[in-house]
Amino acid sequence: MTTADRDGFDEFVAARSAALSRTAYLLTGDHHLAQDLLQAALMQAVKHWRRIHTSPEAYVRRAMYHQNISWWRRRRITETSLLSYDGAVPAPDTDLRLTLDQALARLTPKQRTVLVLRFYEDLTEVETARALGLSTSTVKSTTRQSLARLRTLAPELAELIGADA
Amino acid sequence: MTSPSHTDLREELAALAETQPFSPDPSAWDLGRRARSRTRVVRAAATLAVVALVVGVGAIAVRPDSVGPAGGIEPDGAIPSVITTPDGPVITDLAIGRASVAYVDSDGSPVLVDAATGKASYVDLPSFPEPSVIERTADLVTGPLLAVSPDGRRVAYAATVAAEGPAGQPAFSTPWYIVLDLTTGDFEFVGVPLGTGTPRAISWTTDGRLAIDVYGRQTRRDQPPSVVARTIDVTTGDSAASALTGMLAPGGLISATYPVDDGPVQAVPFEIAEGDVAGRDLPTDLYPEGAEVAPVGWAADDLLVAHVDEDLVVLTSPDRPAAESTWQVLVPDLPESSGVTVAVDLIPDLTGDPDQELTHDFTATPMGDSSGGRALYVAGGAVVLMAGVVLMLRRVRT
Repeated sequence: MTTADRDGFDEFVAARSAALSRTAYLLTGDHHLAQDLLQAALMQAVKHWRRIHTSPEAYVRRAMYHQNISWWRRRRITETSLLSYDGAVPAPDTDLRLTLDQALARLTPKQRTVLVLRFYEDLTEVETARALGLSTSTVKSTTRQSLARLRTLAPELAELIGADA
Repeated sequence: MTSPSHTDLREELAALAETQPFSPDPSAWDLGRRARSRTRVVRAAATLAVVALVVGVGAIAVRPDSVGPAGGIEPDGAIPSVITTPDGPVITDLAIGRASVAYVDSDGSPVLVDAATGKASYVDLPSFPEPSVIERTADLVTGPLLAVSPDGRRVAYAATVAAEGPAGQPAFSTPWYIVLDLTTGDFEFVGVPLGTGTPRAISWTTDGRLAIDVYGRQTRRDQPPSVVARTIDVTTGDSAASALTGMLAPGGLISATYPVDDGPVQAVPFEIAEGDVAGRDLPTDLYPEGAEVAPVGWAADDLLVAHVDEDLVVLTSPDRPAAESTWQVLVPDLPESSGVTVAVDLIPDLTGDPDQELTHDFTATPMGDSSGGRALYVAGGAVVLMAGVVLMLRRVRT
């Protein structure tokens, strides 16, 4: 790789890291994990820079989505194990954002990732399915389940989420 | 499915995302390049292996044996008779093969000793706690911070980071453990068991799981929580409660516990059932005032390696009859550290011969092995690498 490659990478990181780290935070719900997730995705990008340098952001985002689900699979936070935690989140704070943060933390990684792609990244169901390697019907059902679970976990979010999901 | 309120959800998610501080890590390029270089080196090595297979095996077959390690020690390495402090550069390519010893020095820097050369080096471990974090956790931690696996091929540690407590006071948290493969330099994240935090100690069981001591749930405000133990399957991330705290012996029926306080004790402490303790008395002629003791690993079902004052010692556990008890200094005068672990598989089985050498003097003789064994390793390695070449060629064609 050449100095131009390095310069190109540095420019990309300088321009897009802030946005990417915000997405990483929504995916992980933890500031340190978000930094690790972005770092791992950037390392992957370096390894394939020649091939992806014309459109690195799509590659890095995709790497983050997959890495996030993979890491959490390793942590064995499964949907089944979360069933016993489906009681409503206690609301010690009236801050809606804090409540949303706490409720998101109790979704499965797949549910959380689908929500972030659909409602933060503004991807369509088809685009989300393509990015995660899922079927469109799985994205639809996962979105529906995620929103329903958010309402269960934090009833005060119902207005935010909507009642028809 | 979508409703107008989803606009609000989008806005709240965006606001939540804004709380993530932006801190790009400038090392991504260098780390990525190193990983890429490693991949390319492996591919190049695969090509060379074809040539090596033809030329190397023939040459090895007629080569005389070199001087082997003392006492017929494992061909892939040995515990050095002297554990030194590092004097070279920090190693960043972590594919060193096997480590015989791992420790964290008094400055909080991780050190590995190469099992094949006996050389100690500082290593640049990914997400290893900063010295300031190690200092913060000093009151919590009772055992090793860096644990080398029994076969020396992996190391594990908690990726503890600095955090801010509820009132802004300095705190720390451990999002996961890292298991690093020293044969490839690759590492894996292993999640912390639910409900646990930063471990008080970490070690490997002889069957390749991590054993951790952590604080359990606090039941009384005026008392610290009890210490509980868990094991973690590093492949699946599954964890299970363990009845015994400390360093588990093969079979899990006895453990060597970590010191609760600094200061000398008169016996090496063990746990033989939940809450039931036993001790193996220190030889009073060697330690009339007692000694500071910490477990290091289990070399066999009933043979513990322990750090006793400045020495590494091999001793039998208290469940063995007194007539069979052993107390043998393995390595004297260890460097100052906050916990040492050794690759216990590299310690040969004790024969009962008082002159048996358990370690290797790397300054006197180079490591070697029999030509037949070496040929077998080379041939096996070459076959594996040739398979890699075939896979690579297939990939190129597609």
